[in-house]
Amino acid sequence: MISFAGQRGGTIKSIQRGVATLTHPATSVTVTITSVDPAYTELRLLGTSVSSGSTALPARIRLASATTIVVDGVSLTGIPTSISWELTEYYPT
Amino acid sequence: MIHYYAQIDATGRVIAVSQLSAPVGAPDMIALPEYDTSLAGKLYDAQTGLFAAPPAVPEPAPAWAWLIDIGPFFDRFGSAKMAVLTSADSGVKAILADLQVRKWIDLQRADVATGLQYVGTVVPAVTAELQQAILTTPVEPEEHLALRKLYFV
Repeated sequence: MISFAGQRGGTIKSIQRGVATLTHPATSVTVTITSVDPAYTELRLLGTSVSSGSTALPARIRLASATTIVVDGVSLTGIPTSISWELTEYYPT
Repeated sequence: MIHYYAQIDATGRVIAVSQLSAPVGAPDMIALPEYDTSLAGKLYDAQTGLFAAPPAVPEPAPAWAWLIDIGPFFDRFGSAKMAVLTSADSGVKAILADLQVRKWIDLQRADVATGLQYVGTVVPAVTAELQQAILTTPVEPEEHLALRKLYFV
């Protein structure tokens, strides 16, 4: 198991980012990414927003596999929720 | 090298816009010239290669859309109204009594249609066409003003 500190100490191999969109009634989106080593990858939720400018709804993200991120959340009818994410993959130290 | 993609679902809707570190070969991954997050939620046309805003979602009908106040309901009988209200038939009287103790009439309830059909068998002026018009004509705002004020707004 690689410690978080260990990952941080390594050299960055790649950075990927994106915005996923949840449209009612969907509660989950699987996002394709370039293959990473999950053991050396840090995934961050940057934030959520809705097009109408009203209160953003909560969401969560996880690295489901080497090539996919799963975004879970909710959205209102006619008001998609946007979820921004970013991941950093490090070289093994 | 950075690669930009719009990821679409089975309907062509963009579910993700991503900036990836290497190319991804997949039919649902549409290569983009730049990182354009405004494409999120738009629809992709595979033939033209263009993205367009999805059609607006219609507002859901309010709960009171097919509820009508008692008075306006009877007004919908038009020239047949008095014949209905003065009917000596016990079945018609029972239906009228049942209607008049309610706060409103839901035009989409099956028993309302059934009641109208019965009234039509007793009062010839309540034709099938009139019954259909009473049940399917959208309720105007003034036809359910009372129930909206009292119970919904």
